Amino acid sequence: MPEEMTASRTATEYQREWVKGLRAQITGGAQYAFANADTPHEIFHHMGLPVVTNQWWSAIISAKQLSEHYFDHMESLGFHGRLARYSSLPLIAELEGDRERQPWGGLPRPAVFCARQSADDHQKIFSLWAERTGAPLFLFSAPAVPDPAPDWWALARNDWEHLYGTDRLDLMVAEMRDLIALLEGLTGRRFDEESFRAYLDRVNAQEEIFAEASELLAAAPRSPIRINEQIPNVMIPQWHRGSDWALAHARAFRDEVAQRVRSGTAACENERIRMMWIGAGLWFDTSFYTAFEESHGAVFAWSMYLPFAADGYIRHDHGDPLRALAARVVSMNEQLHQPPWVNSWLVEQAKKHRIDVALMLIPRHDRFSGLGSLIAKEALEQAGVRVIEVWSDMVDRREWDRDAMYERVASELDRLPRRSD
Amino acid sequence: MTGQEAIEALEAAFAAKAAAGHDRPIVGVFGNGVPLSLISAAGCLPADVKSAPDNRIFHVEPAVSRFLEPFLDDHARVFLHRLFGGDFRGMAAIVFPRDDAAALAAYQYATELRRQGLAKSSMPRLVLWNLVHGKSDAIAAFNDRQAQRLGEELAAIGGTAPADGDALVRVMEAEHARTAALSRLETLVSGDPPLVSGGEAMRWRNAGRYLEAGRHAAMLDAACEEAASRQAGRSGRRIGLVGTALDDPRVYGAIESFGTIVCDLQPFGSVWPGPSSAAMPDEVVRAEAGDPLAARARPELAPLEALVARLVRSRCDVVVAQYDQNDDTFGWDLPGLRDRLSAHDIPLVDLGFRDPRPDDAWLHTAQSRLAAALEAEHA
Repeated sequence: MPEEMTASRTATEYQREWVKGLRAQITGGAQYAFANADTPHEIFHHMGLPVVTNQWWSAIISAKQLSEHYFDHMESLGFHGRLARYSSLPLIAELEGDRERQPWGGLPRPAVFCARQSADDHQKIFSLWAERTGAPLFLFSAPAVPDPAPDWWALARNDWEHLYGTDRLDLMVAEMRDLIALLEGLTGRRFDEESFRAYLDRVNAQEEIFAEASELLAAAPRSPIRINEQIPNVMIPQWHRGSDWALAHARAFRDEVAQRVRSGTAACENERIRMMWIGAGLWFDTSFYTAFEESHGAVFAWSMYLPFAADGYIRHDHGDPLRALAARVVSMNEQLHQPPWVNSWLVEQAKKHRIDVALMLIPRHDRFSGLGSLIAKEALEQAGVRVIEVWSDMVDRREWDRDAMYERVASELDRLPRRSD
Repeated sequence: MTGQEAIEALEAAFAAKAAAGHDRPIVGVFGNGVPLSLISAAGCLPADVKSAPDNRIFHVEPAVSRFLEPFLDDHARVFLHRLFGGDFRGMAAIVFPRDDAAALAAYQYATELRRQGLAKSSMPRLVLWNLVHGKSDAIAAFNDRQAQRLGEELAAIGGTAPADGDALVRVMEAEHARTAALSRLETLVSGDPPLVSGGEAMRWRNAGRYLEAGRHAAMLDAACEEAASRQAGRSGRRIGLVGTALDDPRVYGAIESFGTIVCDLQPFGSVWPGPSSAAMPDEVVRAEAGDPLAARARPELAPLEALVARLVRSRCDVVVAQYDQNDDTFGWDLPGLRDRLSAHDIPLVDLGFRDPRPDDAWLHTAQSRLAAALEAEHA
C-alpha cells in the first residue's frame, strides 16, 4: 500500500491550523457567516468574512459520532422523523442546547446566515436558525431551468448564459448585489469589484488545475490514490478557493498525482475492479471506501468532488465576474441531483474513468439529494456499469449496518466477470 | 339550475376531475401558484392534473415504475403514471409551478423520461411556471418575464398571446365573480353555526379546478343559496386544517365527526385559487408572488404568521395537522406552529403521516387522537 500523499498531510495540517485560527477568531467575537455550500462563498471571502459551511459543520458533528444523539433528540423537539439530516444536523445541535456536547463548545451567533432555495426545506431550516439566534438570513431565490441541456458540463465554462438562462442570472446577480450591500453594512468594508475580478481569476485557475488532476486520474492505468485522499485534497482547498495557499496546494496535489502515475503507483496493487462512489461522503464511516481492496481488488477510483471542482466551478467571466459567479452558483447543487443533468454527467464520468461498479448513496429522508437517483442508475446500467444502491444517510448512522452492507457489496463484486490482467 | 342541481354538478365535477368542454385548448395545471386568468385570457381552459380521480390513483404504468423513488411525492408519482399511461393526451399543454412542492420533480421526471423515449404517444407540451414567491423588484422583474414566457408557450399551442389587455379584463371579471362566490362559501362554512361542512367546501371549491371561472361562480352561488336555507346548522368544534395537499373526502369525514373544518389552509383548501384571482388585471402576477401561504413563500412574506392569523381569525377551537408519507417541508413548521397556536390557547393535534387514500385503520386512529386531545382539553 503506498504511503500517504505529502499533499494529504499538508492539507490536513493546514486545515487543522486554519480551524484553530477560525475557532479562535469566531469564539473571540469576530464576525462570520454561516452558509450553505451552494451559496456564493466568494463574496464572503472577498469581504473578509470567514464562512462556516453548514455541510462542513454537519460532517464535523457526524465524524464526532454525535449525530445519533441529535437525531434522537430531533423528534423530542417536535420534528418528525423523515426530515432531511445532512442540512439540519447543525441546527438540531443548536436547538438541543447543550453547548458542551458540541464541537468547539458550539458556534457563536453568526453575523449572517445564507442559504439558497435550491431545496424546499433549506429556507425552513435557516429561518428557524435565524429566529433562534436573531441573526439575519439572506436567502437566494432558486427558480429552475426550464430546458436543461443534458451535457451541461460542455457548456458551463463558456456558454453559461445560454445554459442557465438570462432571466435566472439577472435575478441571481441582483440578489448578489443585495448581499454585497448587506455585508458592506455589517463589516464596514467596501466591495472592490476590480480586485474581485482578479480573485475569481485565481479561483478559475485553481479549478483548471483540479481539472488536470482529474484527467490524470481518469487516464491512469490504475488509480494512484484513494478517494479518502482525493476528497480532502480537493475540499480543503475548495473551502479556501482562490487563496495563495489553495492554488499552491492544487498544483502540489496535481504534481504528486502526476508523479504517482508516472511511477505506476497504485492505491491497490491488485486493482481489478474500478468503482465510483456517487453522492456526498459517508461521513461517519469513511473507512468503508477501502473495505473491498484486499478481498476483491476493488478500489474507489472516483468521487464527485474532484471532477465537480472542474465542471461545477470553472466559469470564464466574459468581462462580468459577478455574472460569472452567478453562473457558478445558480444551479450548483441542481447539477448533481436533478435529471437530465445528474444522469448524463455520471455516465460521462463513468466512461471517462472506466468504472465497473457504482455505489450510489440514496438518502431516504433527504429528498433533494435522492431524487433522480433511479434515473441515474438506469442510465449507468445502460452504459454497462453495475449499480449498487446504498440506502443510507450521509450523517445519520442509526440505520447503517456496515457488516450487512459489506456482504451485499461483496456478493455483487463476486458476481462480476473477472477482468483479464 | 336549481341549488340542488348546482350542488350535484359541483360534486360530480369534483369526482370526475376532468375538464368540461373542448371548444378550446385544455391546459393542465399541476397544483397551485399559476394565475389561472393568464391561461384563460389566452383562450385556453385550465384544468388541474395534480389530483387524480379515484379510479386512477393506483394506476401503474410499468414503463416508468423503475425510475420512481419511493420518496417521490405521491402526487408526482400518481401523475407520472397517468401521464405516461396516456391520461392527458387530450391536453394541449401542462403547466408546472416550480413553487408547488411536487411540481418540479413531476416536470423534471416527465421531461427526462420523455427525452429518453418512454412516451407511447404524443404528450402535451410541458411548461415550467417559474414564479418566485417574494417581494423584491428583482423578483418582480423575473416574474414578469415568466408571464411573458407563459404567454409565448400558450400561443404555441393555439392560444392567443401574449394575452391582450381586454381579454384579461374580461377573464378577471369572471375570476372576481368566483372569488365573491367562494367568499360566500367561506362565510357559510365558518359561520356560527356553520351551514356547510369543510368537506363540502373542499369539494365545491376544487370542482372549480375543472370549470371555467364564470360557470364555477354561478354554480357556487346557486349551491350557497341552497345551503343558506338549511334549517339546522352544524354542531361541534371549530376545526382548522393544515399540512400537505389533501383531497380525500373520507379524511374530512373522519375529522368532521367532531365538528366542522372552518378554516382549511392545506393546498386543496381555501388557499386555492390564490390571491391572483382577486387582483386587478395588471397586478395578477404580483399578487400571486405575494401569497404568504404558497409552499415556498420566502421569509419576508411571513408565511407562518399568516397561517396562524387565519386560524385565529376563524376562531378555531383546535387545529389538525396531517402530512404525506414523504413530507420534507411542512414538518419544519410544526413545532413553531404548535407554539404560536398555544399562545392563543388553540391546541394542535398531529395526525402524522398518511397515504393519499388512508385506510380505515388510519382514519380510526386519527379519530382516536382527535378525541383524546379534545377530551384532555376539556378536562
